[in-house]
Amino acid sequence: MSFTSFEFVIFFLALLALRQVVRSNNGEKWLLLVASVAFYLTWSVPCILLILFTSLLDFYIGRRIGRAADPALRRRWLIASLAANLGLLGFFKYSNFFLDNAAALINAFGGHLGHPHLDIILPPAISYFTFASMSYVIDVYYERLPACQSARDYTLFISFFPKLLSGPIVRAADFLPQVEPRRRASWEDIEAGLAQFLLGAVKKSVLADQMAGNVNQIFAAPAQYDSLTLIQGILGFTAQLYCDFSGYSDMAIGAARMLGFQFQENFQMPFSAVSITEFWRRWHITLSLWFRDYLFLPLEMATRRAPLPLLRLSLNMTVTMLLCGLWHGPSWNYVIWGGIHGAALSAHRLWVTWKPKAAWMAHPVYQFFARQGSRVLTLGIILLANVFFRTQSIAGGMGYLTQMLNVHSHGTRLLSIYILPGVAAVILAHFFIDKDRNWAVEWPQRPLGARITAYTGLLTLLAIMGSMDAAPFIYFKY
Amino acid sequence: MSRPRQLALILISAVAISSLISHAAINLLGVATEALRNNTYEPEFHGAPVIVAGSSLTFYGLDWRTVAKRLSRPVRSLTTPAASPCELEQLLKDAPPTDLTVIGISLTDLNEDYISDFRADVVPLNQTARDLWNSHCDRALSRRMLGLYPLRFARLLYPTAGRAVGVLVGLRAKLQKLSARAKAAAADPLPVMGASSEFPTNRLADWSTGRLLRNEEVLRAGCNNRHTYQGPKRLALERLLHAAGAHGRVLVVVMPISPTYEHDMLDATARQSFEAELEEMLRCEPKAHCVRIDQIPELHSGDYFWDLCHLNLAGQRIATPVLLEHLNSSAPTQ
Repeated sequence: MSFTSFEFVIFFLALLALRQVVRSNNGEKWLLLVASVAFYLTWSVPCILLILFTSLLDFYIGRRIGRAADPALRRRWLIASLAANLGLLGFFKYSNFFLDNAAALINAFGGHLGHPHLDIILPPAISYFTFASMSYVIDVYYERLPACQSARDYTLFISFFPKLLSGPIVRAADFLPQVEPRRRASWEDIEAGLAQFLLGAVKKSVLADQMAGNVNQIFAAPAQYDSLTLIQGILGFTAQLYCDFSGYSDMAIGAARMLGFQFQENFQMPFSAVSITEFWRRWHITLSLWFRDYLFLPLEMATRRAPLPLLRLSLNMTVTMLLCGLWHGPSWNYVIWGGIHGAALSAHRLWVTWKPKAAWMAHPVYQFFARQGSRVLTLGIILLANVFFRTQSIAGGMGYLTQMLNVHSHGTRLLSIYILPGVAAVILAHFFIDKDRNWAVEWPQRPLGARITAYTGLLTLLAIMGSMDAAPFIYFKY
Repeated sequence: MSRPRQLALILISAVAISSLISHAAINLLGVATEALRNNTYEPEFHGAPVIVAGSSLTFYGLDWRTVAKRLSRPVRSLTTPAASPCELEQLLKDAPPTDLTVIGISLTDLNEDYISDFRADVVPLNQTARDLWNSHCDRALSRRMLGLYPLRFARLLYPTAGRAVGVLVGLRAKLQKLSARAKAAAADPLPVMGASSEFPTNRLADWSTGRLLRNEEVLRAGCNNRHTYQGPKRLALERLLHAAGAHGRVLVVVMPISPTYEHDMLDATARQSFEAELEEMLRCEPKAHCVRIDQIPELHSGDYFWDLCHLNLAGQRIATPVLLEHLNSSAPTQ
């Protein structure tokens, strides 16, 4: 059941209606849990057992860590939880990747391992719920959060349907306090949530899905097209990815808000960033914060006594981004994607530390050109990395880049009536909308006429240009 | 005004205004919203009409006016856009009695993943559900098909819902009319099914690579880049042949698709599945005779198609005599 389907609209309206009937807080939590399980069952029936297993295991371990006074025992429980979560993730998501690479390595050295392959299904949302669950256990271990005392509440935290499939990666510290008192969405919440949900639907159905056809066409056979078409293709994919994923996040946050829950924003106009560091503060915010807090900072702590602090920092950044790339999928092209971002983040860090031309920096002309140059450079890095993100193989990515940079190629030129307006819409939105304001929160305070106009605009766009045969959300596969 | 009332006012106003805009867009841009496209060729002839049921491939590919004249009988067409046996079966239920039914099919018509946008208007929900159940259809296809039923109701409010391509095509036609290219556009109009003089003469062979790739992508998106058989359409075709066979002769006309389509979008498995389904169907209904227009060697050229699927006037001139010959040779002795 996708957020953009009729089934979801019916499911969600029925849930809102049932919530009005349920009187107690306990009843409401059970209702949300049953709804979340039902939602997941529409994606996969057997894999619900995996979610329940992860939830109950980490709930139990969390309680054991909370009770234990002995640091060694606490550490053992933490290691057990991490091993279980990473083991499940590794088995379901990376088994074949490791097998393929091990076989290739052995074959390269004269061995004969053939091409071993395991028929393993990838449970939907596994990357998200294991990360959410791991963050809870780590937070309990470091005493940033008391252990949850209710298995139902914890399972609801893991399986809460608006954020289950593709995030945002909500942390227990943010979610669990919200289920304790009886949650009632105010009318302002409902209006703000509905507006955000509709905006997300417009991003997904009107922009991302309409661009998807031509983007897929270009990436399916890049050798057929000329360099301008390929530039259009990568611009289109980047805009599509943004609209698809930020659209999903908006819908998730909007749906949760209508149920009385508040989640952190996941995207804040990422293409307006003037550096790659700023980009990662604005793109998939909950994932980048997760990697910062649970991987990068522990790495920094562990290596804090190492010499050459700048080199250490760069290495830690690169390792974090390589693993972030691998999180997206069991394939080397994602590792390359992560590597490009890691290298760019390290280079930016070095540049900021070095401060060349410090004397010029105060000059407004320098500032203007430096700012615009940085913006273009940042966008260039994002586009370059996204070639590898989309092509699904290193050879495919290199082939695409070679063809794109060969201005004398004689391929077909395609001017897409879907990609160009879609890219223009994304650019204009980044140009005109204040990147640091959360308009959804402010929305209910606007004059009535403005709100009617905005809702009419969103509904009209959906009704006229929306794609009903919606493609799956891109991030569902991660 | 209280918050709940404000929200109610906002929603009612927004839905009403956007619905009006949607209705206006449909009328202004001339987007087709009618499911039925039935027509009678040469109605002045007397006698029971010949019933022809098929998709646009059947009606562009064969000159039914000539057929009517040759048989000295009116020809009644039953069709909806992108019609498949599922829709045709329902349309045939309301057709006048006849002793000759012609059913047009093709590789694309029987492709289970190519679903008519008007299916929910024609095929009852319980029939769709039964066919999906009986054919063990996969979940994605079932969802696509069943999703058309709530969409049908949504279209009462928003007739443009799910018709973005139609809106864009209508918009382009409007802009072309308004622009200085009006004359050029008038010289190459969108073909309209109907009179012989309106059949398209342009050729697929003249298309640029870019146009070809764009159109292929539209078709791929329409069927999720899959060609599968042996699903609900097969069950409907079986029932359709039985129903038609109960009244008289049945002629199954297999229409061709362009060689470009076959080369770029089909694999050997799809072709084999189609042939297997066809063979099975003809075995089930012994009264049915098959005319393989798709196996006329001359038609295997982009010169005889005006797009990736439809024959042009030149192609029609080759295909129609073959059908007539078959009609004459297989006519029952009085």
